[in-house]
Amino acid sequence: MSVNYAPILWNRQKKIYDRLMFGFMGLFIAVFIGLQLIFYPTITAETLIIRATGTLAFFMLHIILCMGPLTRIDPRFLPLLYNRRHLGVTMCCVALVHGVFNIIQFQAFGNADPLVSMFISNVNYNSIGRFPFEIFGFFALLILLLMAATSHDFWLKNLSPKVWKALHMIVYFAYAMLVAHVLLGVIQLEKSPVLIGVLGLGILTVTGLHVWAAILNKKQTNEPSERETEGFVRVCAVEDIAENRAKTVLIDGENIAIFKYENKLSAINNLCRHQNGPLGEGKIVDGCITCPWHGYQYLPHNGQSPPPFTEKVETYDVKLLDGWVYVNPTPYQEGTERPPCPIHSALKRLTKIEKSDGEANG
Amino acid sequence: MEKQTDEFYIGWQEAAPDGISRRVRMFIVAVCVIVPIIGALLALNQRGFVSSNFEFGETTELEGALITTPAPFLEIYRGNDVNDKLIFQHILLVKPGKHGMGEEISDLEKNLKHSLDGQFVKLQGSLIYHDGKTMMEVEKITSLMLDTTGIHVMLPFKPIGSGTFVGEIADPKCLFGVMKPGYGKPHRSCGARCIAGGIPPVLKTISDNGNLEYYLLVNEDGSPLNDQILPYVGDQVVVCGEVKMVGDWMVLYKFADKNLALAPETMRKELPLCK
Repeated sequence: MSVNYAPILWNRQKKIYDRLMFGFMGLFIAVFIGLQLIFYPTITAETLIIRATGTLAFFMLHIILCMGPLTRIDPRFLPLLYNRRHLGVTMCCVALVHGVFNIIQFQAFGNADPLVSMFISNVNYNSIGRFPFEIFGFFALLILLLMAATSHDFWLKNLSPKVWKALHMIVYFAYAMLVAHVLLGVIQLEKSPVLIGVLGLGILTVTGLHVWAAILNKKQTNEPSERETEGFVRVCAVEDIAENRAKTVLIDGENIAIFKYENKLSAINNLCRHQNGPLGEGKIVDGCITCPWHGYQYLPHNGQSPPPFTEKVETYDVKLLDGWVYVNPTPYQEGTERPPCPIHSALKRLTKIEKSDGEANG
Repeated sequence: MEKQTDEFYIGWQEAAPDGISRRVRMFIVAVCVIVPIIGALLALNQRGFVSSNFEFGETTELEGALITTPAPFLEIYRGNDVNDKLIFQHILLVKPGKHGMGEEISDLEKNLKHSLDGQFVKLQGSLIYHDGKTMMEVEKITSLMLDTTGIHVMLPFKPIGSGTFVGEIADPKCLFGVMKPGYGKPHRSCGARCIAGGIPPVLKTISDNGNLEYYLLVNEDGSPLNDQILPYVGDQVVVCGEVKMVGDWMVLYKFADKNLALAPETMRKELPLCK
């Protein structure tokens, strides 16, 4: 979190993250280029650069796309997500080297502008097999550049998290275009079953993890249909919420996280104002709800970030009746203070007795 | 979704909790294994690259007779063989970048108001060579000798026969050394740009026993067919025509009444691997 904009807010974990990232990139480049030079010594430097950067960038994109679902499947992977923007921007730079070298190598020094040449040199737009695959790579690169250019918190704040998130979701469109770029390009020349297999494995891993995470998410999302009086909706038993943790619920499109802490309950909007991170998967640390993605914090009773920070989320009314937690899905304006609902110890005991009776009878 | 642990990761804290650190370390170890495996699989499963050469940055000066049609060649006298027959080498001429030599020769001829066909010239440039074929990327014409004094015997174009040929359209400059690979789908745009820039197209054929042969492709009357061949660059096509040989090059004169067409799947041949 920061009050003022800075190019990069370095901390120990970001430094470790970046060192590992560059280490792995170096390892990939060393293995790829080393083996190429040993087994194919006649390769030209341009081809070597184009292939090394192209494969590295595409591999990095797979890792990036796998991180989101991995953290949803197991939150212990959250450190991978923390500095994902550095990984994304670095991947974009590698892809840019690939793209620029390709344009210079294949499109420049002719009788047409290099960018125009990309669109007019192969005009088989009516054929899938003969389609100019470069176009897919070009537009995917534009998307990656747009994402890298807007990756800073300045853009996040000014575009709003919703727009920013929507903009950055087009990475999946870029990924689909890159798959087409590879399938209609180099795979048509190389045709090695191993290369096709590696590509297939990559696509399967990305889509498989996303499907898995979506199924888990669906199971996790609480969407009560039962309406109660005065606009309150029953969510869960109070014991179902762990101390300093939350239960999330989706009611009429309102994504709500109900936190239990210090014998109290408070409800705030589930979406962090930084990057729409799931606050309900966070934890109360030092009295503040802490976002699992980047550690942004909010006070549970008013949804405000502690000063000097200025982020605010909507708050909701919560009540406790016979051991059941109820929430009113009508939001209060961002940062509106709502008194936490106390959890009476007597009531908790009563609920336990009722439950054990119910189990014995059942 | 939530694991049975109360550990919680916050990026801006000095260190991650132990359980989370252990999981991330496992991930790092996995990536350590996966990265070299993927790098190796991608590097080792390529077709390989031909041993063609482009003497980039090295300048060679050559002297010989200029042949302007059907494509610009430099015919160089290489001495006599054991039967005292004259030996010539034919070097296909192109310009730097994706440009042919034909336009410069035409401009020169217009300025001089004189045909340059058969004239002695000295050229400076970088050599490109592969599979018995030599080309030169001409940087400049250093000397144009209109009054010939050296040995100059223009080798006749020797008819070989006519027939139907199946092969891939490529640009010879990239194919014979400037690019690796200088053929196939990834190279299609570049090849089209080279051919659009005046470099004469080549038909690369593969015999049943895997031998490659190269034919410079021109119209029946010897005029360039670059523009009409552009949609087929990088594709395998069927061409009917007559073959003539000039030195170490074969030229395929496409019959005017036979259209060039994409080769049906059954007639296509895979290039042998370069490994």
